[in-house]
Amino acid sequence: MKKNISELLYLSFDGQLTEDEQQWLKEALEQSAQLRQEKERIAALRGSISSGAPKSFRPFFAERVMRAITTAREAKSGLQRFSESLQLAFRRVALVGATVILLLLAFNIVRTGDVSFAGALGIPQETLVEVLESPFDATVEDLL
Amino acid sequence: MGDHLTDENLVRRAQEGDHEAFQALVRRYESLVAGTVIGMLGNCPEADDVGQETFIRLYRSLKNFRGESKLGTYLTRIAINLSLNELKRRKRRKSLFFQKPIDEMHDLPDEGADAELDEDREIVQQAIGRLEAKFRSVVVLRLIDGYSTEETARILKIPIGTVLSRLSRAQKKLKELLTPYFGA
Repeated sequence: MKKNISELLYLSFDGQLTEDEQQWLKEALEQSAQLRQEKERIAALRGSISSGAPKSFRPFFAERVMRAITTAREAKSGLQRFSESLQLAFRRVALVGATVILLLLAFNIVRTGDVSFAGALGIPQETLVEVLESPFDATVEDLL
Repeated sequence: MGDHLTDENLVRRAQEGDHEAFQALVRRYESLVAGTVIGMLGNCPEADDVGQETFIRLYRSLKNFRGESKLGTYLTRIAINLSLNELKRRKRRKSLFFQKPIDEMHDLPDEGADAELDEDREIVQQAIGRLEAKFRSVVVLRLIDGYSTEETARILKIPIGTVLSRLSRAQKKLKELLTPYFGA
């Protein structure tokens, strides 16, 4: 792509010109006082940008960073402590709950003398025939 | 502490939990990060916050930092990304920080050479602040932080050609903005 001389002038500050482009720019600069002036203006602009930027934050920046890190770490350890105590409390509740469930299962087995899963849960064992031959034979009239 | 120690030594010590070593790194790189962040956001309280956040992010990622890139480049990448995020937030909030008319710069106090220098800096800074974020970032990295075009391209993850064209357009715009103040 053919670049115009103004583009080349800007690019020349960043060292991105081919040998031909450098030569072309060199000749153009030799011939044009206006271009030389433009080059000086760009150099001055770049100089004022690089020297004009503040290079420090407000005083005691490093101390503020370290304080923020310490605070964040303490907050994190506080959160960790809370999460650990929550886990501990839940563990206790879970342990008590599991014990109660085991006791209920054992109670059901002892009461029914049935060591099956249904017996442990206290579910009465009924066959399909027993269910179908249910003594409930009331008619609609009886109900009304 | 730390003036005689290399970055690698300070990083290793900081990784082992040495806070003084990390503080020495903060002091060493404050000016680099400040150049990037203040260049991007202007000299405002948010710049200080973003600067702090940059180092906090470094602290958090210290365990994973293997030194594949230079610490300065690594910090600049964090700083520029956080600054761009802040600019997006600012845009959303429709902050008028950089929308102040450039003419208002004449209201700055004029009390001798130092004040004049400060005023010039303020004018340049505000002119940079008027650039779009994508142009501003190349100006900051290339002209303020002094990275090469290749490094700038790597940090911003864009092609070198894009860096050069943005840089050229940004400089033309800055020239246009600053000519009334510094002359043609």
